Amino acid sequence: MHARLDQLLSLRDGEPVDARVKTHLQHCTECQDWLAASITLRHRLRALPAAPEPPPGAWARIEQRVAASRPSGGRRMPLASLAAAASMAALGLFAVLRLSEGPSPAPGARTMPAPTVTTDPVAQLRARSQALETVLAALPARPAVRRAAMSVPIDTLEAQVQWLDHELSTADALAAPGDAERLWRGRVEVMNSLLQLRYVEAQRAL
Amino acid sequence: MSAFSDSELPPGTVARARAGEPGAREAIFRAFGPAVRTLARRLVPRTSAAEDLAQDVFVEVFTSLAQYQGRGSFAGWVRSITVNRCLMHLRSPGWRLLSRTKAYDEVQDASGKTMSDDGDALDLERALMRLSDRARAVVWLHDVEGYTHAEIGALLGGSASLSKSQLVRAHARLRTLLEPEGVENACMPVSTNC
Repeated sequence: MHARLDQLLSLRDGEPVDARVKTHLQHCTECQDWLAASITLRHRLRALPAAPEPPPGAWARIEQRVAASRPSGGRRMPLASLAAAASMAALGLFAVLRLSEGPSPAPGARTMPAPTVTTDPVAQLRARSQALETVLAALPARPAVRRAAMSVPIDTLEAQVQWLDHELSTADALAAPGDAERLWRGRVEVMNSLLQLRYVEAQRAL
Repeated sequence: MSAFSDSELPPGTVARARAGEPGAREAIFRAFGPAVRTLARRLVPRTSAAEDLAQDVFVEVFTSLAQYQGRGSFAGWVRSITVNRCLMHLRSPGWRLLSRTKAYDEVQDASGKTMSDDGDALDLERALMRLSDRARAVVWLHDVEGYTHAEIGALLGGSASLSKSQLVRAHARLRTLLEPEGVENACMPVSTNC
């Protein structure tokens, strides 16, 4: 019986494998060939050429877009609000979970920015998003030493929030009605996930 | 090896860029441009989309510089933004619709050339582009960029074992695609029943 390809790739990557696989490999030229081919393939992938020169004017376009982007003030709360929000840290996961359930106000709403009563779904989503920002800001700073399994999804979610913020910053130009609502809904969902992960990360850091 | 590991910046460049110095921002673009564009083009097999994504990456880098706290390498931060952007693009409904209808030759860039002109590299590039988006991402992120299976699993919304099984299947597929026609593998040890 030959070694499986996943075992050969583990060997290639220096991961632990069953000793029997190593023993088998010493005598099986076919599996040796597969292992060598996997190593060669990785070398060939790494040796593929880099992208050619960027299109003319690429840097100029980036500069224009950076200059045109609004100053980022939407995501983070002002210092005064941050300080007030810090007092809410004790609400912890309870508030988080309540906020993720729907537009109804959380029990701790007294300590949060009072949501504006409106039937406009975009305004409701924006208010929920702002409330989630407030709770997020109240969490402790991220730990200096982070676990990859937790840090990577958090980084991914933060990048998604940034991307949604960028999309929302151009929302005025959105052609299809409902785009703004879709984006704000997406932002609330991503913020919910981000908040829950950040909370778990903060708990583990204690 | 990841092109990001070859990207170097003079000391203080990030701080100067954060302070709004245009020259520092351009230095970052020049230093990381090839790595960002290469990664985008390897993950997103459509030249125009990959170039747009590379621009998006730099806009995000420059508008989010305040969020870079210097805990990890700057190259790693730029790379994570690039990977996230590309994976988000590949997950977007628009891309999924397009990828169902796009022809394989869209791998080629606007001038009708691939990034490789050497025979072996060209074959490999074409084989790579014939993988599914997810399989290609796993192969590139693991074998070239050095991501762990746990990291890739998290990025793809799955587990480390999902990433690993994708890598195994992708390697088997690549090997098949790269075999000269008429030559069959005597045995593909993907399973124990070989």
